[in-house]
Amino acid sequence: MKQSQQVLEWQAEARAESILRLLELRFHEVPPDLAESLRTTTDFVKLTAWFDLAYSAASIEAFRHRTGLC
Amino acid sequence: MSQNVFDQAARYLAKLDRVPFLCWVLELQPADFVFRGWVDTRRLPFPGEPDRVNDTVAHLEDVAGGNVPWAVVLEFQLEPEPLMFGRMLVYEGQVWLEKKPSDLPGDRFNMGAVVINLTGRGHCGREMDWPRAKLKTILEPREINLCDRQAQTVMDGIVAGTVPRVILPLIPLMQGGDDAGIIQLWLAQASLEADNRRRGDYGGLALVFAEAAKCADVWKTALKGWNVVQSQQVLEWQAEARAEALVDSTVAHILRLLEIRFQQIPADLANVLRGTTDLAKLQTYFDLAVSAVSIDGFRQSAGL
Repeated sequence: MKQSQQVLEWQAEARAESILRLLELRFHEVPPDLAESLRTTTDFVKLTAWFDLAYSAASIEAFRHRTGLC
Repeated sequence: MSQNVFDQAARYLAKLDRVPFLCWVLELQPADFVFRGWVDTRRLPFPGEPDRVNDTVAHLEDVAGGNVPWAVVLEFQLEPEPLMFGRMLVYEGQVWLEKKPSDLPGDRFNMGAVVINLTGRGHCGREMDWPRAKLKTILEPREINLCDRQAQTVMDGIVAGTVPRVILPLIPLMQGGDDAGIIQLWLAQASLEADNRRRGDYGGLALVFAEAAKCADVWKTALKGWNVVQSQQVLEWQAEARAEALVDSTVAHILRLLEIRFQQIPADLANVLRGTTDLAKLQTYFDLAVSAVSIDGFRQSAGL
């Protein structure tokens, strides 16, 4: 059977939380507006790409810039 | 997810009030059959889905036929599946081979199936006939396409008492199932259910099926002010599904981090991580995957 939309949303939410945790571990603090933007994103493909960026970005500002989450 | 929420909801509904539910799907009266129980099929995975067990195989007796034992498979599909004929053929064969109505030697079930399509129209039955060779294979499950049922007609039946109330949660899947008048009638009928818990299940299951029918918003709004306890069962599924989504995602991200950082992950380590379901442990592993200086360092700190 196909997956419930609600479950897909939870999976996206879990992805966003992993990105936030990674940013927090790397840069100690995540600005609230950035956290909010990440939490409201439900696009799986974007979130997957952003996870890699969260690891490779040199700073929070660089992450913002490359993701377009300004 | 090992068990899909729509599948769980459908099977839960079938068991909620089994005899009335079976009467409705088989178009029989309660006096037409005896329900002996659900066949224990825990060791029989459904073909094509090794992790899934169909636990809604009813052991019935055909009263008019001299109490002949039948094993009737109830299978639910969110959308019709093109290979269902073959899968059902294999499954019925497995149940026939492995399960018996009694311990008497040679005792066997007659086999039958009901396929309920929650959305879409299916026809999984096949008749293969080669008359000159005198070869014939027939598998004709009773197939119910809920999208072809008129919500108004079914609601009229519920009001008149000819359709059991346990069918209420399926209304959102029927034609006109998102109509405001139907939903008001639904609320009135569901409110007649004296059992609070059952009433909560009707509401919770209707919301699950409304999501499948893509009319969740209108049902959510209608049920918002409804004075019922929330369905504990539905809340449990939601909690399980949410926890499972978090675990799956965290595992995927640990693996991705290790891959980005160390290029290759030993297969045994990947398998251990994939088999871990403790979210707290996984969150620790995630942090370690960020800070470890090597795969071996990660293994050691994580105790893997």
